[in-house]
Amino acid sequence: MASADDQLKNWFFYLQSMQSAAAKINASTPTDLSAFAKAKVTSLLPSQPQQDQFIQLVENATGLFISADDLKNATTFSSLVTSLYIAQYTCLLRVFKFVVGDTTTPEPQFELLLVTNVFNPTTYSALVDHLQSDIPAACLTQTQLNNLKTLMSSPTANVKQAVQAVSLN
Amino acid sequence: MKIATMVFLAALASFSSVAAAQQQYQDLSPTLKTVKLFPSLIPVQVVQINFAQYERTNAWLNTYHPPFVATDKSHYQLTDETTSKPLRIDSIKCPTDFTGHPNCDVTYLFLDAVVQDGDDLKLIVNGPNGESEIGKLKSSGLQAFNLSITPQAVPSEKLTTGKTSDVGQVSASITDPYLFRSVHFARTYLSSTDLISTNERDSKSAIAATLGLERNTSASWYIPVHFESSMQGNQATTNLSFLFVGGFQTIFPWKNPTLFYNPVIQASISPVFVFNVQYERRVRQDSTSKTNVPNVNDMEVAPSLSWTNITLLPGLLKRFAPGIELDLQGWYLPFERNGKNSNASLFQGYGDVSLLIPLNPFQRFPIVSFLTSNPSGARVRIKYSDGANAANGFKHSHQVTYGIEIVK
Repeated sequence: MASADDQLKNWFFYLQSMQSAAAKINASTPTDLSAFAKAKVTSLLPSQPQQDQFIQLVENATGLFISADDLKNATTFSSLVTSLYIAQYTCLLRVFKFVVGDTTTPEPQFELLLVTNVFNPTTYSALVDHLQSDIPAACLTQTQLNNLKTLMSSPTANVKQAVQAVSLN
Repeated sequence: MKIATMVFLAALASFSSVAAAQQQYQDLSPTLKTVKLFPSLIPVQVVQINFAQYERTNAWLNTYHPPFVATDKSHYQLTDETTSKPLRIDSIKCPTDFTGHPNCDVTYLFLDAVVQDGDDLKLIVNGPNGESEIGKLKSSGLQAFNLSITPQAVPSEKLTTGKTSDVGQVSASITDPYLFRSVHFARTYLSSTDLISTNERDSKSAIAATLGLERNTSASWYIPVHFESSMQGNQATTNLSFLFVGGFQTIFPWKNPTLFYNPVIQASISPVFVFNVQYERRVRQDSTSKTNVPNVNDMEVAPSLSWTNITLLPGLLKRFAPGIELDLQGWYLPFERNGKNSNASLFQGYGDVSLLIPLNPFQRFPIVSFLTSNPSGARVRIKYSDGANAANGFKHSHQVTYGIEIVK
């Protein structure tokens, strides 16, 4: 499998490819990637010709095979990437785990650990570097980073809350 | 004693292995779906395996360095548990990652088999050292061969002789979206809708079959062309026609259409353009048909355009801006003057325009809450149409209609 960082980069690569495809079909496609992630699939691709065109463009760009049902069942483009690849939350959680060098704790348990028990100033700084390298600037705002910083010093915050602070949803 | 201990340990190891496989059972969650291949547009059944969803620390797939990637057919065993038959895998593909290299975190197994809706499948992924991972999936929503037969009894059915009679009818429908599987350059399809009666003079009896071929014409844009051959008639074949249809449809690239996307008018998507040419040869006609359509040969060239999602004055009215929808249809009928309409126009046209007024700004008016309980999702449609009606001998009419519709 790809590394945690590569999985997160792939996640945004697929989302950006979808945004690029949708922009060729619908002029009101959000130029902001985080807004596009939350856009409704059927709003930007209302009928079959637009949906078939989108499927072809995304397949050409990424090799992802999208079915008509995938488009019908996905509420947002973020959830479409999740159904075709993996949830962004999981990618982020794995980066958090990788940065602290934890290879043994299962993910469901890791996300419940208190951040103060997992991260120290050095690993926190490394985490921010990884996130800034993996996530396009439009999808990692200074506000999110400030929230993350606040959570990192909170004695009650767990890893799940920290991951959600930098997640798109 | 020593042997007994070894047997016990071996059994325990075997049990642990089964338990481990069962523990990871939920992790391997393959899905079965039907995707279109481009440019042939052939529908193919694909098993999608999201290895990326694995918990990295648990899966044996991640114990290999470099990571074990199951990209060979021998790594997979797929069985239809409903029929207990193994399913052949035609090819294996992975998407590309952000660097352009294969990303087998997602793996697609292209099936050389037809799975029916509702079938239970079992997938086993085999590792290089005898490890295995099991996943189960249930097929649903697959486009496949469809046959339906509905018998019914109809009292006093009208006959072509003008009399009535009690008859039995069988309504049959066959659809195969991918008919010839040996044809790979295009999708071939078949559809048939028939109504067979116990009385061949039953006025409702009908046979209709269409054989078609469809393929995309561009590697970068969706412009599917289709060619169809159809047969239409009644049960006694006193009316029988052959139709040949060819055409294409497309949308236009719509990235920065400044002319149609500005504060005055915003058309967020391209119109859908459809072009069809149809030739009809009437091989047999009864007297009624000869009176209505005297031409033995008929031909029509029919372009049409449908345009939705147009907003007027969005810069000024914001979310209260009204919408516009357009439909335009044209016909060129080269044989029309050969028949009873010697003065008929060779060219016919039809158009309609709808003005869509959102009810959201008016929801405080009692009449609006009386008409609909959900004004924020409702709109008034005022539609004006003018032109020829192809279903009614190209008779011309114009009308205004209006109504309230709920948008979900």
